[in-house]
Amino acid sequence: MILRPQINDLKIIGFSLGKLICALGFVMLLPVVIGVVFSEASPVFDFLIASELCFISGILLLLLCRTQTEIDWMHGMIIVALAWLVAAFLGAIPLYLSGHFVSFLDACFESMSGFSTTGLTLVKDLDHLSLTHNFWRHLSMFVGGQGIVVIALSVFMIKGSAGAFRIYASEARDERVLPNVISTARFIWLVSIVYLVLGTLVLGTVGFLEGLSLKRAFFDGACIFMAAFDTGGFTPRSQNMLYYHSFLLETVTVSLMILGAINFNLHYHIWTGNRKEVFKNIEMRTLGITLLITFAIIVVDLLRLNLYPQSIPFFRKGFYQLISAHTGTGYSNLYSMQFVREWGNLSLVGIIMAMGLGGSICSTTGGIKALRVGVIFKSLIQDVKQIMLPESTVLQQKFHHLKMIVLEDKHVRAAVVTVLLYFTLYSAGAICGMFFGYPFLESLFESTSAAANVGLSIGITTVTMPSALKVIYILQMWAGRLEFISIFVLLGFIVAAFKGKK
Amino acid sequence: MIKKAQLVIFFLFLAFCFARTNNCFADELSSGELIKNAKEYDGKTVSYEGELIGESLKRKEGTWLNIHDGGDALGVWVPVKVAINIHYAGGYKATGDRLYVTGKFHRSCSMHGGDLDMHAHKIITKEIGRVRPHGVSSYKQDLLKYLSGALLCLLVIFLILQKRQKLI
Repeated sequence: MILRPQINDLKIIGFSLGKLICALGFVMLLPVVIGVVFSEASPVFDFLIASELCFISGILLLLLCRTQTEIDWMHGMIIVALAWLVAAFLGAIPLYLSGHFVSFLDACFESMSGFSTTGLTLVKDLDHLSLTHNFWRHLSMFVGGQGIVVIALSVFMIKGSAGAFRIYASEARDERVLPNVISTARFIWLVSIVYLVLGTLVLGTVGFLEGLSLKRAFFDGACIFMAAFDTGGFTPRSQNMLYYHSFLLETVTVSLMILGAINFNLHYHIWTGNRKEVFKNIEMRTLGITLLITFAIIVVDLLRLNLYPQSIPFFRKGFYQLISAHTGTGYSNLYSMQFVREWGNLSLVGIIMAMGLGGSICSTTGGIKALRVGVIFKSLIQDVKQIMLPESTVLQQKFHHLKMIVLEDKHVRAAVVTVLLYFTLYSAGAICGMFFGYPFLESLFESTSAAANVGLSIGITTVTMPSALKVIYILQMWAGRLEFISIFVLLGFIVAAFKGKK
Repeated sequence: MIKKAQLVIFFLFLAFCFARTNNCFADELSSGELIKNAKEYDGKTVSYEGELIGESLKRKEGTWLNIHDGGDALGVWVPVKVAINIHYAGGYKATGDRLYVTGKFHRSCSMHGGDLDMHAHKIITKEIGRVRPHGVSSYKQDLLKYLSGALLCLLVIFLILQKRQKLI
């Protein structure tokens, strides 16, 4: 039996959503600073309008939904699921006002792609887009990567620490580096900003050495950092990484993509000197193994096709796409058409596998995640061992993830359910792609890229693709980023509103 | 005898033309054609025209230009010996120069780490770029005014209520 939601439930959701929207309004003022610095008047107006719309809708919700009741798990899940949709919608306003999007749907696609750190793009004439709008595209990745809720928790206190944790955990993350969830949120931002400053310095210097002007080198450096560390994949240039023609820059971005794909808790262990954890952690080990397997697949195919006979081109093209795919970033130094025309089906399958698997949990990557793969594999080993040993033997399998954990059925069940849901999502998108006339492998590639929040494109994602497919990819990006549960709770809430008992 | 010589010259001319057409594509090609048929054009001399976008990237042995033809942008490597005269690079504030490039196309350039690129032999500026005017439209100005008014009213109400009830 499900109960019909009460008016107070709506108030709790609306009140917290109001706070999140106001936080977004503040974030939208950052591009205004960039616009003023680079003397871009019209974009400044776009962001002031969007920011004011955020504040108006946020304050209206705060006024209409005043409540003192604490958030429970259901509310937390619904708030987060809605917050990401609302953020994508409001974040699309300044993009649409730029005039670089054919429709508001395209701007919403871009915005969702940014917040979910996917990197698929529908911007028209990117090379003439203002720096202010470009900064927003990348900032949305930085904000989305760290978590919209993390921002709200850092800026506004959500009533009660239990409520704060519920809303925080609903955003597909459960790391509590510090005892208090609000302190954790602030710590996440502190670490991210330290990395941002250092990353921008390194990338800016590399850009300057590779021929960019100082101002542009550091602007592009900051943008690339935000998109690489948050495994997003946007760049301020239509050619993506190809614009820079720089092996050095690609090497730096590889390091950033790997950093971004690591569990945030592991970052904390590394920061506090516990470097051994890197080698013991099941996630890191699984990540290493899946990386080797997928790389082997790509190597075999690229060697068979003799596409890159020399070692440096082979590494730059083969390994770079793989790291980009496996970390869920989506940076590319190839044209989409080259995937279709030059790469073989086997290497495409390797890339699809890498995209689908993703990085670590509690990181900015999407996809199935290494921990789940590791847990399922451990459970398989346990089952095989159990069969081979005498029946009376009680076997206990353990795995190391920040601490030694005894493998239990609940771990395996949770991992298998999520993996199945991801497979369903990848397949559903691929079927929709085929429905619109795209070939199977290309549909699967693009669908996996959207659902695993990667951003590599085989050429389907263009302004001219069917609107329905744009909507499907938006939903895939949303579901993939939030890892399903909060979305199911939202759907359940809607069903309960109509069919629940009073 | 003269007729035979004429015939030989004619066939030699034909052979020369044939050889030239195998290695050189006089009409400009689009980025789409070049990327799509990269294997076919690999190592051939091609012509390509488009707008210079983004800053040119100066390196020791030459300069990288990125030229967009409306479909996609290609990287063009310009060795030091090839003369270039850039007035405007395309971006938010300017439309870049329209350049006509003749050069060797590479599907996977061994000199540049496997990039798909063109090595320019000759660059002609077809059209000098220009500054792009960006005024703030009146509807945006009006919209901002109305929204500011509405926000101010809401803020006042919110602050009064907050003071009364200690909302947050």
